Amino acid sequence: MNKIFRVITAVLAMLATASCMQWDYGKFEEDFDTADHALFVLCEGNFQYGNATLSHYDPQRRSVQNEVFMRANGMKLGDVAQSMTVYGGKAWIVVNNSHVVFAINPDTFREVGRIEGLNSPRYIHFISDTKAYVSQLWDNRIYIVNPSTYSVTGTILVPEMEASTGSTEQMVQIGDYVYCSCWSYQNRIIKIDTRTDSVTASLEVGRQPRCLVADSRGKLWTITDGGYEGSPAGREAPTLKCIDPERFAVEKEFKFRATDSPSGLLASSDGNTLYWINRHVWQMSVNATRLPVKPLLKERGTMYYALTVSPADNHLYVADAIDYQQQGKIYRYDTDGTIVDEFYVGITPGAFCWK
Amino acid sequence: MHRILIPFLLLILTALSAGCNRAIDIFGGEPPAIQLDSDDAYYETKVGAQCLISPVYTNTDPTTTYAWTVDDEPGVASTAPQFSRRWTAPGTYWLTLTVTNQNGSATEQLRVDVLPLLPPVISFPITDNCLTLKVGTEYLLTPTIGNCTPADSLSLEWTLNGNVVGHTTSCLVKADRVGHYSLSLKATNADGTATAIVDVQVVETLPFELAFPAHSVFDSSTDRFTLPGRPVYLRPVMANLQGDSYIWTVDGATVPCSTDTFVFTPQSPGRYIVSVLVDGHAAASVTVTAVNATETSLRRPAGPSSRADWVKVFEWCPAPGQFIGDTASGMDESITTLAAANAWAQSRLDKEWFVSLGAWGGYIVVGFDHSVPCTDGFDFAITSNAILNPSSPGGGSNEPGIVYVMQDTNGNGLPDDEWYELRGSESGVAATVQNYAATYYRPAGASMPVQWTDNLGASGTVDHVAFFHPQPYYWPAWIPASSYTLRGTRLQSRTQQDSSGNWDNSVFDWGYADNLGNDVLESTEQGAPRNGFKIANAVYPDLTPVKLKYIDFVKVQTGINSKAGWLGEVSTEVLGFKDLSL
Repeated sequence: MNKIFRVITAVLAMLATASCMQWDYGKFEEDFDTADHALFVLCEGNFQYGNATLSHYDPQRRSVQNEVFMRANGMKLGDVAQSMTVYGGKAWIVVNNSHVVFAINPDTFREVGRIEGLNSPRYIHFISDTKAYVSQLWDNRIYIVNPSTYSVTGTILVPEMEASTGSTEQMVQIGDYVYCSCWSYQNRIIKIDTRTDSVTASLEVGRQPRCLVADSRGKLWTITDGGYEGSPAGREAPTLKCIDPERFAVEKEFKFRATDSPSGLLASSDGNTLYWINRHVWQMSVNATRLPVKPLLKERGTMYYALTVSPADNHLYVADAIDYQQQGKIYRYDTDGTIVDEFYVGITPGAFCWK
Repeated sequence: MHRILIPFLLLILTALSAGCNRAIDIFGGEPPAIQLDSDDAYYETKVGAQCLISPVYTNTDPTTTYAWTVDDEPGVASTAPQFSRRWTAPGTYWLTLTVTNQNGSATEQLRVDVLPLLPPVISFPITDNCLTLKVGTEYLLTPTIGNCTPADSLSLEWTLNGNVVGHTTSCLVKADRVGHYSLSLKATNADGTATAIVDVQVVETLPFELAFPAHSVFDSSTDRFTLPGRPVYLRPVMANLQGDSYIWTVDGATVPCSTDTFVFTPQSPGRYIVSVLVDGHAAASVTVTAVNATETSLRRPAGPSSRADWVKVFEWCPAPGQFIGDTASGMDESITTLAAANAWAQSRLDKEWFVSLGAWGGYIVVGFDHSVPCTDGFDFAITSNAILNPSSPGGGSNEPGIVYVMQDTNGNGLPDDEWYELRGSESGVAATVQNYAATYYRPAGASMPVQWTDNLGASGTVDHVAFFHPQPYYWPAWIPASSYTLRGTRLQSRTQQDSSGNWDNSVFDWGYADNLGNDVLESTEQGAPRNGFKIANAVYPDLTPVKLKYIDFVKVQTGINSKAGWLGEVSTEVLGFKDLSL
């Protein structure tokens, strides 16, 4: 039976069966020569295999160092590394099925702290030096944490969401409000007042909005993946939607084909271009009036899984999970679409983070 | 001069202030504009069908030119205002249309998805499309038909010896008269027609089948091995026999047994021919060898190089399932032999990656590099990927595998001796079916469900859950036959769907792999559970205990015949085996 999609259920299960995580400390802790402008590649690994890894890429030297977390700390990163964010001079790594957020020194990769006691963390968004939100899967709460003390300080209950099918995912802040996509089994974007830590509004946008980004005009964009066949929540054609956060209303809608599976929405550094993966890699102006028909990068036996654009030179980095079993590969393209580098990282590279 | 120039400059400035397009107006025209006859610039067609793209143009004149190019094709594909083509190969094609007049040009990109022709495919749940019926009986023949969506585009026609007998999805075959019949089904959809023929033999008496079961799907030998004084349970597999009488003989001498199972206990080493005569006319024989050894003398004690958590894969014979042939699990079309399949499973277990056993009856046979001793506690463990559902106490994804053990009684290093089932919480329970058998039928085409029938008269399918596992076939490519039969014990399914629509496979108390029972010893760091197993729980087929001082081989077999909607068939998965004594 397909247990991959029971994974999310398992997150809670792990609390019962493996709540006392034993970190595998090794004997050796390496030192690294790191770059000022560098790219972290976070590799999920395989569910229940504990083989998540972190890679460090120096775009200037075109050199990659793999498994840097393990090598720097002498312990495994954990199970299903989900996302990474740099804030306050630290890099924060959310490891979903290890129920932890690690804070590391982005130069040495050494752990400087960790937030534990999380349920099924997905993303961390910083409000201030003393407050951050951690979204969750299979939970109807967003955790409030204090990054300075690495502690959970509270939760934000999402109204009209059951814990067993709950999901909060990617977060974008505009002014005092954090907008958060509610993905698995859900269909809406919620608006959180960071002054009161409460959900003040909710906008239905279609089945399973996962990605959420802001463009140069301060508009929000989301991709609804449409769910999956057989899902109790149903399946519908995926969409790309533009949301006006002021009115908190959908401004534009682009429908994908019913058989499409778009993911990985990304806004360029200048916020004028959107990128996403839908078997191929696609690019579209935020001013476009219809979806592009021709991909930016065609699939070529690849399994594109994540994207990022360098804020320094606008180079596009594309992660290829290949078969989710072997080491994934990163392709780097310049602004002309010419490949300028490629390198192997860990298993299932699923997130990028610029230092 | 100035009088002419000033108004002209004013005119230019006025035009520029109104926008670039207006500036062109003063020269007498605008560039062309294209309005495609598809809102999203996508076009869909089928191989061989006429694909016509007819944009509407504005600002064109007789001098306007049209250029259609197709990605990866050299040159211009067409210079006509319309584009027409019959594509010969399926795929996605990107076109670029450029329209040019003397004022400029306009460009549009288009995508054409060329779909393959998909005529119907017909699969019958019978072996080699041959059906033998006893006169006076009826048989409902229900095929699965691939490429039948949308359903209203499909038409069916059944004919018997050339005469049309029906148009429904099933055909009730009435075996009224002895004879040989040709039953044909013609299925037609928009893409074509398929015909499948079933050879129907109606006979006075069905031919009987009587044979002792082979060791496994890949080992056709029926020879049995035991120790002197240790019984073997001999039970033939039979069909179309009443089973009114059984006469058993050992080396020609009749023995006092009149049931379908003869418990033979050779008292001294030797080779014995055991025969059974059923209903006075059907006979079968099996060779039983009592080896000239003691249990202790055959034991392979662990040595310094013995490994607790490494096993050799001897036979990976899954039932059809969504992970079989799944490229996301690293499989590819090169796995077409048992050796390749075993090597693949070996490589997975060596890394503690899951190996799926598919639907009910699928199994894996592994062996330790030493004998695993029977102790007072748990003797070995099996790691799986069972998952708890915290919102449903006792629920989750439990896909129990029944565990069997074997001693290498004949000392040949191969698992060709006696399997003993390990007792579990469901052993002896009324809902547990021993001597269960399910036959799986290879589908005739890609992306079709796999049909099965069982020895209880039930039938069903292992569904093709394409959304997550799109590989065309869930059939083990290393099983060349059109059907194969798996035998063993079946547990009562605990698959259920809750009011929210979520599927759940509830836990069994103990004694099974891939099940969060109370015998979970520990979890890996990431929560993959390890169930503990006791050799002392080994039983004979009548569930009486067999005392084994050690075991050499382990078999795990999917114990549930069930499916959970979009999650697909219930299938045991194993990640590793471990001798707990080392």
